[in-house]
This record gives sequence, structure tokens and C-alpha cells, in this order.
Amino acid sequence: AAALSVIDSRYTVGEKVTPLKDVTTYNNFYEFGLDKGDPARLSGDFKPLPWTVKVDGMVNKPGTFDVEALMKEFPIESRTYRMRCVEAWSMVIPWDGFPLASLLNKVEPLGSAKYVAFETVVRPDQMPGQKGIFQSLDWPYVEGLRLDEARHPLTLLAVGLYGETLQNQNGAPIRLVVPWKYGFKGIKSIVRITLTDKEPKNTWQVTNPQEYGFYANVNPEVDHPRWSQATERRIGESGFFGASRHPTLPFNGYADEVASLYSGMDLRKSF
Amino acid sequence: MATLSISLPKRWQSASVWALYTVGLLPAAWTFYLGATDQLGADPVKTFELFLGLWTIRFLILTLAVSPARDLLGWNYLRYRRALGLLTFYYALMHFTVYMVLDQALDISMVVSDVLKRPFIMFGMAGLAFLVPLALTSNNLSIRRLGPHWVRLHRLVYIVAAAGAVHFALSTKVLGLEQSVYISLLILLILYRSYRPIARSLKARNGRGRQGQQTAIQPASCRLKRIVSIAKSATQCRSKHPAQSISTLNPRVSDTFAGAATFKEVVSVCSVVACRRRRAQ
Repeated sequence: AAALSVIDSRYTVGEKVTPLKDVTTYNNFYEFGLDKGDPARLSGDFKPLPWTVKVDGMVNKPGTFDVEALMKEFPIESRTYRMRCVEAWSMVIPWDGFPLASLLNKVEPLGSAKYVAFETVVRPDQMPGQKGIFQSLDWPYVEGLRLDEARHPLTLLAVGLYGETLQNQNGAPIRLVVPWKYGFKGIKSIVRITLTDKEPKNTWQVTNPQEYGFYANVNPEVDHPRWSQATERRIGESGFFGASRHPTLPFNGYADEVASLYSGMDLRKSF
Repeated sequence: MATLSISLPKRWQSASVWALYTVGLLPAAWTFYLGATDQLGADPVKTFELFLGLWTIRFLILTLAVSPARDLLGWNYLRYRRALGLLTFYYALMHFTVYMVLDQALDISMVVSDVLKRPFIMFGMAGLAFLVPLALTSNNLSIRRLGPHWVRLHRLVYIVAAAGAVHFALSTKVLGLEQSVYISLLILLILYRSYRPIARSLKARNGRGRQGQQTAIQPASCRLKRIVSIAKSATQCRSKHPAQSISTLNPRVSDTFAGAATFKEVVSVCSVVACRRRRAQ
């Protein structure tokens, strides 16, 4: 990972950050394997550069953008966000990136565009989880946001963490971070972004619609059918003994910024 | 085929069972040490919890595999079955304890609501609950006291296996390859047990077993007189000759005698075996 030159951002929580070692060895990235250690162990062959992201669909100026060029074009901000996984664990991660809104403004979405769809790269020769008879999910991994969610200033395209470019296991070279949603919304190694007027599919909703919805907002009131979402284990905080359980906050603690996006919606139904 | 069974001299047999307990508990002890010294990765509690759960499944599979291994391959590890079964129970208990103490930090109300609300946890708890009576009766005294009821009671292990398989399958977001292998093995072992009585009755109808001597105990011989006579001859064999002499009487029955020292014990084990065979038919 190469050093980045970053500027500070006001979007930073004052909590103790999760050690870099834990952020880079405890990952869900099924393209490399199901075990939390697989992405760090099995992503050595992955080539994150050169890399382009295609932006198309309902936009005035579609295009294919070189990631290194985007990193020069937009100032890279350092933002420390809480990150809450749907599996009831959490971290605090100092991301480096630029708002998704900056890229969207560049391509000029049409008035008819309502949603943004995302797609991860498919490279079975470099991603062992995409190879062989046993495949855990349908590839490519896809995700989606409503356009107003995508344009929210908190929504980040991360290109690094801890002041260095992303390691392969964290979704190099460019990934999404939506801090008020469960971690699986943060699609990694993005190759395509499409503006559309239909609610896009997201991989986990397709895989198990009873358990995962389109919105996936962090919500202690709405349990996963198989486990409670009321509390979370903070990774790397207290080791083997001693409680490391925290109460989970509505919208992962970002309610002041984002709750208004969902006014009038039944968040038990739109989970 | 029967030669594949390792037959140890009598005085080493109980030592080998104790060695199995020791070796069986080593993975838990070692991983606990790694966790306590912060060498278990980013999420040590979860890692330890899942590790103990996985070893519960492994010992459950080994326990259930003892009978099929004997039936199909002639490998006789019956004397280790109690240890394997108890190791299954110990691992399940440790798995639950870690969930309760380290994961949920003894938040009893949280654990109770988890158990009542979530089928995933419910299946795990049911499996553990059914293991308790099996563990409590895993001793010679209970076998003698309960007689044929003991055999019936210990069939609960198949309910445990089914509950364990469901609990294991529900524990992750998608079913992994390794997980699928373990679950398939559990299903196969449950299916084999349901098929065994059919296979045996077919065999009995054909009038010849895998080995000629098996006719020594026919299902109809459940009558006490017959049992006593078998037990007597078995005990005589035992006092005169080493263990292999008994196996010439009847290889299936002699396995069960491995732990039985007195004539009284032989009779009680015989009655269990004979009644089991009658029921199987």
C-alpha cells in the first residue's frame, strides 16, 4: 500500500480506532473465501492497478475513469467512520477517499435517474472464491443505493485507510463506504456504476430476501432473523476477557445526518 | 477385515481410552491458551466459540461413525465410543459456556430471549439439552440399571445429530464447502441408522450373516435362559483364554464384553444386546 496525501474532514467520530492489523486481517470478501482470514491470505495475486471504473446509464456524460486520475482530481479526505457488520461486530476505521457525489456530479445524472447500481470485478484467476465447483454467491457482487443516499455527503468512495492506499482484502483500489448501513452495502473493487430508474438488485437480498433488504440501514430495533442486532462486539477492543459489547445505535450513530432521508417510511418493512 | 481393528492387550485398553480423553481435550485447551494470550486474531471470542462448536460436530460424527465402521468395514472401536460421546458433550458444554460468559457477558435476559426467539439458537440448545441425559447415563452402572431402556434412551443421539446439523447450517450467512461436508456426513449417519434395522432383518431372513458364527445369537434368543448360557460360555472363554477366544463365540457380542469383568455384567450386557437385536428385527 502506497502513502496518500490526505486532508482532514469534519466527518470523523472521536472513538478509538480499530488497529490496522485487525482492519486488514478480519474481512468479509467472499470473492477470496468465506473465512474472515481468507481475504488477507488469498488476495496476493490480485492486481488492483491499473484500474478503471465505468459510469453509465441515465447520465449526460457517461465515461470510463482511471482510478489514479480520480485520486488526483478529487481531494482525498481522511474520515474516521464507525463500521457495523450485519453479523453484529463493529470497527472504527480511518478511511481515505472522496464523496461519491463528486463523481456523480462529474457525469451529470439525468432528472429521471432514481438509483445508483454498483458492480464488483469478476476475476476467477485472481479471486479464488470465484473459482471452482463451490461458489458461495452469484458473481458479480452487486449493490445499490437510492440517488439521494448516493449523493449524501457521508457516502464515500474510499481509496485508502490509515493514510495508505487500500490493500486487496479491503477492496482495492476503490470501494464504497456508507457508514449508516450494514457493512455489506460497502461494495468492494468497483468496476461499474450505473444510474437507473429502477431499484437495483443487491447480492444479499437476492441470496436471502427474508434476511437482507435493499436498505440495510443499521437498526437495533430490527433483528436479523437468526440473531439480535441490539448490541455489537467491537473488534480489537478488549481481547478474550472483559465485555466488548456496545449498544448498537440507530443508523449506526448517524441518525442526525441521515434519518430525514427515510421520513415517512416503515423501516421494519424497508429493512 | 476384522484384522484392521487394533486389538491392544487388556491392560493397555483403559489407558488408551484415557489417552483419547486427553488428546480430545487438547484442541480446546490449546485454543483457550491462544485466546487468553491474545493470539487468536481480531475476534478471539467468536473464533473460540466457533472452534468449540466445530469440534462438537467432529466428535459427534466420530461417535456416530463407530457402529457403521464396524458393520461395514469390520473396524471395532466400540470401546472408544463412550469417550467420543462424552467429548461431544464436553465440547458442546464449553461452546455454550463461551457463548454465555465471554460472548454475551452473562447477560442472562439476552441469552433467554435469544433461545426463545431464534430457531438457530433453539436447535443448538435442544441438542445440548438432549446430550445431558446421555452424558449422565454414560457409565456401566446406568447400563446395568436401565437395561434395554438404556439402548432406547441413547437413540436420542440421532435427535442431537439432527439438531446439531440444523444449528450448524444456520450459523453462517451462506453454507460453506467445509460446512456442507460435515452436514452431509451427519445426514448420512442418520440415514444409515434408519437403514440398519432393514438391512439386518433382510440378513436374518436370508438365514446367513456376514460370518457364520453370528447365528450364535438369533433375535429370538432373547429369552433369559439362552442369554445366561451365552454369558456363561463367554465368561468361561474369558477366564480361560485371552479376548480373541470370545470373539470366536460371536464377534459382535464380544465387543460389548470388553469392559465387562464379571459374569453379572456379561448377563446384563447380553440382555441389552439381545433385546436390541430383537427390536431391530
